[in-house]
Amino acid sequence: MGKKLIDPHVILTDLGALMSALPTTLIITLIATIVGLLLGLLLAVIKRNQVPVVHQVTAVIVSFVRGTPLIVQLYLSFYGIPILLQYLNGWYGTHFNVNAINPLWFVLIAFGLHEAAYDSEFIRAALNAVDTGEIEAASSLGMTRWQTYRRIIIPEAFVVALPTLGNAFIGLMKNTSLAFVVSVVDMTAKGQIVAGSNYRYFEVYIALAIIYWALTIITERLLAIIERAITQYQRSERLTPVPTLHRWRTFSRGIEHD
Amino acid sequence: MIELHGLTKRYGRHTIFADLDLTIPTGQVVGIIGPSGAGKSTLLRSLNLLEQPDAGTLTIDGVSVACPHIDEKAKFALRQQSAMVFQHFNLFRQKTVLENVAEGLLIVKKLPKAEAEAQALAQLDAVGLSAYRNYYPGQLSGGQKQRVGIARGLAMNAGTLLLDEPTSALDPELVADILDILRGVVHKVDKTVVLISHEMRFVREVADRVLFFADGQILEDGTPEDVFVHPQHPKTREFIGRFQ
Repeated sequence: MGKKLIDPHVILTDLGALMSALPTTLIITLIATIVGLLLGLLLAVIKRNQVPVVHQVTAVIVSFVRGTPLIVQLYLSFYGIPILLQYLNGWYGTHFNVNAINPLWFVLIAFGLHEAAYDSEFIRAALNAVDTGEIEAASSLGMTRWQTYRRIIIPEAFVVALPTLGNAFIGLMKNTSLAFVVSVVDMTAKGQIVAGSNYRYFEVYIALAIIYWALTIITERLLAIIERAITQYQRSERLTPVPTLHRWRTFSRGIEHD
Repeated sequence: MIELHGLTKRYGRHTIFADLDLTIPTGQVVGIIGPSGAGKSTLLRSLNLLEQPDAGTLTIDGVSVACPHIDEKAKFALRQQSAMVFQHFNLFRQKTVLENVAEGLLIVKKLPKAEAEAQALAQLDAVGLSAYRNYYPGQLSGGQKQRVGIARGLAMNAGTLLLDEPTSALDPELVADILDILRGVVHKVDKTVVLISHEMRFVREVADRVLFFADGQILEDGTPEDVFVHPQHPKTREFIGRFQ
């Protein structure tokens, strides 16, 4: 038996090789997250305010994205966007070179929309959880709707949504392994290339599992730190006993209690 | 000066008040009393458009809006003519006491941060809470929260102060503290004040004018003496009688 069943050294060398594709995985994850959050917030606000026409159109998009598999969306983006651009070339005389497009764009668009559709529902639920009394207080101070969103509603909704958004982020990080179907070399695609050359498939998948798991653990830690930072106000101790309040006017107690 | 002409508010088919006329001269302290559910709060909240009236005009210190089609700019202009103190305080939970009071100065009045904080601190000092500037609302007692609410309202330096049952969410032993502060505010500051309260003796003591509001109408309008001692309307008599 000249060949080991499992070769730990191959796992180590594979880890190094896979790292070269780590930036691709992270770029897809981060950009899709940013697009997802911003677009998701926009979709949530549109749904909350029932903006006519726009609301119906976005509802269909959200329903479509949630109702179709991610891999199908990736293919639709990969094949559909070039076709769309060719139509545009035909109609408007633009000169998109369809063959020169980096396939990473198709992945970013598909993942970004996918995240936005899911995030929009999480964000909407979180926005609805914000205390209406505080929103009224902001309005009564004369704050505009956007100022109220920026200063009061979004920071409070973020606390509510963070655990769910964190889960979505972790899910997304692993889903990026689907990018290989449209010829983007993320870590998983890199693993298949590496294994294809040394025929050590089991080792490369162990190496991949280690990296994804490590990324998830790091993310969980970061989320815990963020959560701690933004919920400071909840953990501050209640002042007990309540100190005797300064009283600058004496007043006969009898009058005010009816 | 506050002027209402034909102000009407409905929820669906239910009319809260209709065709209401009311003029409150500058500096007058008006107490609104009446049974629960009569629409007192809705009326007060209409004055800063937290409730949008369905008809009529509303003018505060020269800024006028005609309902129901109020453009956003007019709405924000009108809101800045008054400050509101809420029954349930409605403090911003993620902001410290100082940030709560400074928020309007910073964001609405667009003062520089140092200036906004200095003014906010002066307001906190006036309600005896400057030592609590770095605490969060969740750490305070109800009475302390309402002091912050009052400081936040006063900081905006609006001509009109709207007080929506400012003591009804407080434990009985804390009510006196808040009434003390409000008495100081009402007497010291030359503001138009509209107060809704069930603290009858307090209303009688601080108000220049008392309105008895029931069934969506002002049934009685006079000096505290008129309304509390010589009520004309049977409903006023019955209501006042219950507090004797």
